[in-house]
Amino acid sequence: MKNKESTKQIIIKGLATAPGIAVGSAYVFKPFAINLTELDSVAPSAEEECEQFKTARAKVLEQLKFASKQSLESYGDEFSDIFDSQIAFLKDTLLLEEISAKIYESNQSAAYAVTAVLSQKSNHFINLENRYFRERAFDIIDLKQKLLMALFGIKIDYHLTAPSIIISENLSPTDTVNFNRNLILGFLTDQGGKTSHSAILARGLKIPSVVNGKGLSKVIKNGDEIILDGFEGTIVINPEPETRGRYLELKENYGQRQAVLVAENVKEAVTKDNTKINLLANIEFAHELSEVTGYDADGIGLFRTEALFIENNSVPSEQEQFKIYKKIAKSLEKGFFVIRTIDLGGDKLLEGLTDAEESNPFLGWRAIRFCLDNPQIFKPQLRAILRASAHGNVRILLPMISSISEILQVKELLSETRHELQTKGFKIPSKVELGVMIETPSAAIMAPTIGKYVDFLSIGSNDLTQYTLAVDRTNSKVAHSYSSFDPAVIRLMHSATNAGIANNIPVSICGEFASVPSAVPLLLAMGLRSLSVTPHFIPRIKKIIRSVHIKSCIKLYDKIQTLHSASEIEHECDEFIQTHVPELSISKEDI
Amino acid sequence: MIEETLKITNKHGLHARPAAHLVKIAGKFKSEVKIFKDGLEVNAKSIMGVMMLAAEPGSDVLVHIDGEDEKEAFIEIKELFDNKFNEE
Repeated sequence: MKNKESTKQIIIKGLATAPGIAVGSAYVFKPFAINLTELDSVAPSAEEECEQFKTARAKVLEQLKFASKQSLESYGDEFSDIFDSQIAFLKDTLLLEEISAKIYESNQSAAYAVTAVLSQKSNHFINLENRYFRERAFDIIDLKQKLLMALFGIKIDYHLTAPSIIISENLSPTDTVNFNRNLILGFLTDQGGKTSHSAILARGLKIPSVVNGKGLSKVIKNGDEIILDGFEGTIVINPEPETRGRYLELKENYGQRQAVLVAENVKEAVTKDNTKINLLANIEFAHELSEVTGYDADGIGLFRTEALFIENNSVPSEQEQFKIYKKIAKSLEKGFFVIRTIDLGGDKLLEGLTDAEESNPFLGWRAIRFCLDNPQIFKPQLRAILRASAHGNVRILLPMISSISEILQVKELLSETRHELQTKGFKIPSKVELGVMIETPSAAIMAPTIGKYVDFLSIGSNDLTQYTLAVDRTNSKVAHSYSSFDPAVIRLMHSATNAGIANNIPVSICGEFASVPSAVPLLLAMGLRSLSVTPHFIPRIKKIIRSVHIKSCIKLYDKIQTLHSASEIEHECDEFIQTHVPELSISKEDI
Repeated sequence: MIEETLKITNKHGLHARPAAHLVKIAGKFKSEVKIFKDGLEVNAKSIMGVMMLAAEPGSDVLVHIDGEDEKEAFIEIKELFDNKFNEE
């Protein structure tokens, strides 16, 4: 437990993977791991070992049935399949016989036999190409661990006695479902990313989650007081009373405000002068559909497909992609479904495919450039998207366009792909809309011409800011100069918007800037009528839209045109929000 | 002894659920039921074995049945394959 004298406040920056703020005590969870070489190899009595194995099996079977039931009740059927296949393995008489035979023939312990037999099975699965079967390896490894724990009488304590922040090296879905979800305040894991199972689960459950990447699970002790900021990724160990108070206030404000905003979210997104704004959702997983409908988005403005590739570090087949796209297209209740083709390269690397050796990756072989050079990856994706477009209102969005010739190349590839599919008998709608991201200065400058070749534009504020200002925001020495409020960035966004309007094609924004409260009035003033944001930001943005007149936004815009620095502009916009939407006036950390 | 090549035509291939159906039917009979695919031989009465085949939709497997009730066993197993493992 906590010792007042020896505890000093430590603040660490991690990666935020699920929003929210958690303040509470740590529960350090240690997943069980054992080495075959450490196993007791003294020749025991084979009969006795077989008996022990039988008892262990019965115990694990009991646990799994319980976990399966828990999982179904708390999480729906998304994860219960895992337990059901483990149960089936434990009921496999031939597998059980194989383990018993191993005990007799090796004259070793039950633990040895379990490890030997199940490791051989999991090794078989882990080498398979098909993703579904390959993932069964993890079920078997997990099952093996459960059996070993039962054999050694080791109990993992999933029993939380008080609300806790779970700290662990890693968390499997199996581990996660064993905790009482009402007592979980947050997750802090050493490993993982935005696409790891625990992060996905945390977002679904609305539990704040941060990945630290620094091995904190070995430093933090049970009962240590922890703060997790799932917006900024900040981790505070043993916070000082002042820090603690500040975060508690943030947490309460966030909770209260979010509750009010969510309650008001049923209203329409119209400004005070009756202009309808489309609020679209940015997502990267099919399971986020529930958030899209939950927050009543007007459609999906951005489906990032990189996660499908990065998640398993392999290229999903056309069929695998088609199934996911089709599922989303079919279940989307309103609006359209914009699929952005893969944006790999830059900081999103795929082992063995993208080039990790580039000296300037953000100016290098990424996104559309990578795709055009790799038709064996790009074409299956285009095929999957075209096929899915028969099942809903699907649109295609191309990332990182920096020249018109890239658009022409994709168009040619698309018509070739369409033709191939049609000869094979697939029915593809006669028109599938094609749009491009405006996220390079060249695309923004050329937007009036680009608009003649495509069906819609989508402004990517993050990359547009980084490329316009030539600032890498992951470089702490220059990151302070990164701001989408910079007058140069704002002018480029405005001219891209005008290009869309002039060409009579829809234009939207899907970057982070669209979810910054004080940016919203500027975007409305420019003429943007479609904002695509992470689903949980929709209530907040809707509140702003409902609180302002387009007229007063334009006044603000005129005013900021006389200002020459990002900080002055941002300050002006903050004040505007404070005056017009006082309910939202909050400190920056809250975003 | 009966030996015949059968095609997997259900949506996902021999995933956990269809594999469980196959194991259940094979287990009803006294005959030995083996399945061969890509050089791998497994016992159809073991779910672990059947899943190890990693049989994808559209793939062919060789079913080998040997024993006193092999005819009945074959009829039921063939029916299960034809009915896409009662999945769809």
